[in-house]
Amino acid sequence: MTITWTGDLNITDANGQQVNITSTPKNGADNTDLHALGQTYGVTKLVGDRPHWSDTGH
Amino acid sequence: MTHSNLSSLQVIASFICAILALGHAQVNQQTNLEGEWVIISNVNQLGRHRLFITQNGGNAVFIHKGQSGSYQPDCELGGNRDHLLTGQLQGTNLTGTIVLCSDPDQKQIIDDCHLPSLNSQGSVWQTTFKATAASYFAPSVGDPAVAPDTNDFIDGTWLSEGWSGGMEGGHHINCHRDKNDDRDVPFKLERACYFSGLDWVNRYPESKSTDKLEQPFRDNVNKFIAALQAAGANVRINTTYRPIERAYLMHYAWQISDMYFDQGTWHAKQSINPSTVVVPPGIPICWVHRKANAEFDLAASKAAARAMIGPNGYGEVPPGAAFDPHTDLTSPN
Repeated sequence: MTITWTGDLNITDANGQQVNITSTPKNGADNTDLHALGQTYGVTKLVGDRPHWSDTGH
Repeated sequence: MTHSNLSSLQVIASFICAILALGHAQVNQQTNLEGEWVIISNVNQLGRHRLFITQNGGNAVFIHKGQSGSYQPDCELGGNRDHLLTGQLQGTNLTGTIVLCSDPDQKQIIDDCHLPSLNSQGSVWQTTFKATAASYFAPSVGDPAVAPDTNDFIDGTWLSEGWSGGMEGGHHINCHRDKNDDRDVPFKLERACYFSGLDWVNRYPESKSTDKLEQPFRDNVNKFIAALQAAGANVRINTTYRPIERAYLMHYAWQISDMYFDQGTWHAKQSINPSTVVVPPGIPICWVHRKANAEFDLAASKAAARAMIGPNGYGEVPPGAAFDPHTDLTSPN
């Protein structure tokens, strides 16, 4: 999936904690802070395949 | 001298088929026979031989699967044939001549009755045929809703002329044409594969719904997307489920293509020879296109693969779609 945003991304992780992502780039393919947040949901980014997220990262 | 009346001499005579220089096949928009075909019923000393029919010519020449060019299979009594059919297409009606090899009886009749043969041994001859050509998609695969489980076919009969006469000293004598003994011998060809190209992209569609995901991943993704949207992010789902057939097509179209399209322009990339790609039974794609002489047309093959991965196709960018070559495609989705 393709994820984009503008400004800061103030988002709730799977543990109910509020996380403010201020880093760039502001897209799901490259933002490693969002990758870490996705992990809390059990959704893992496959690096090297821009839109690819999975349960295993493969 | 003795005469045995009406001994049946089943043989053909090519002299009545004087249309040796047949014109080109007349291809209309509805029916296009260009491409690779395979014999699916036993045709005169031929098993599941493969044939190539050119777009502008009426010839069906013999080819080997995955090999460039044509060849001439041997007849059992000597000689060979460089093509099986030469025909003219009118609508869905295909008529013309078929080249056949003699069995021992036929050869004796040709020799004794001095019937025309295409070689000095009397082992190769020709007769007329008529057939119905059903071309639902061809030459590239089209909308599966048209005929989802039907391959194009050429279904017809060739004329076995009846000849009568007597026997003397083990030879046929007083040979004469006997239409009462004419027979129509059935044969059938089926399209072996459909050219690669944009039409394939509409096949085996993928899903964008998270309902296609397995649990618990489905719930996890839905929660993640809900959190993203609540935070104001824009989320677009590209694919949740990709049939293995589509994964196969995307991967090898990427491998074969020598260019990819990204950021509004084409970029060169490394590519493989399309003739090296294994084609599974359930996906009848011709990765290799051919020229009129049945030689591989690598430029056309690459162009078709480019179209498949380009902006009007799968829209692939590096690293291209992944595919496990060990995937079992014999029982596709």
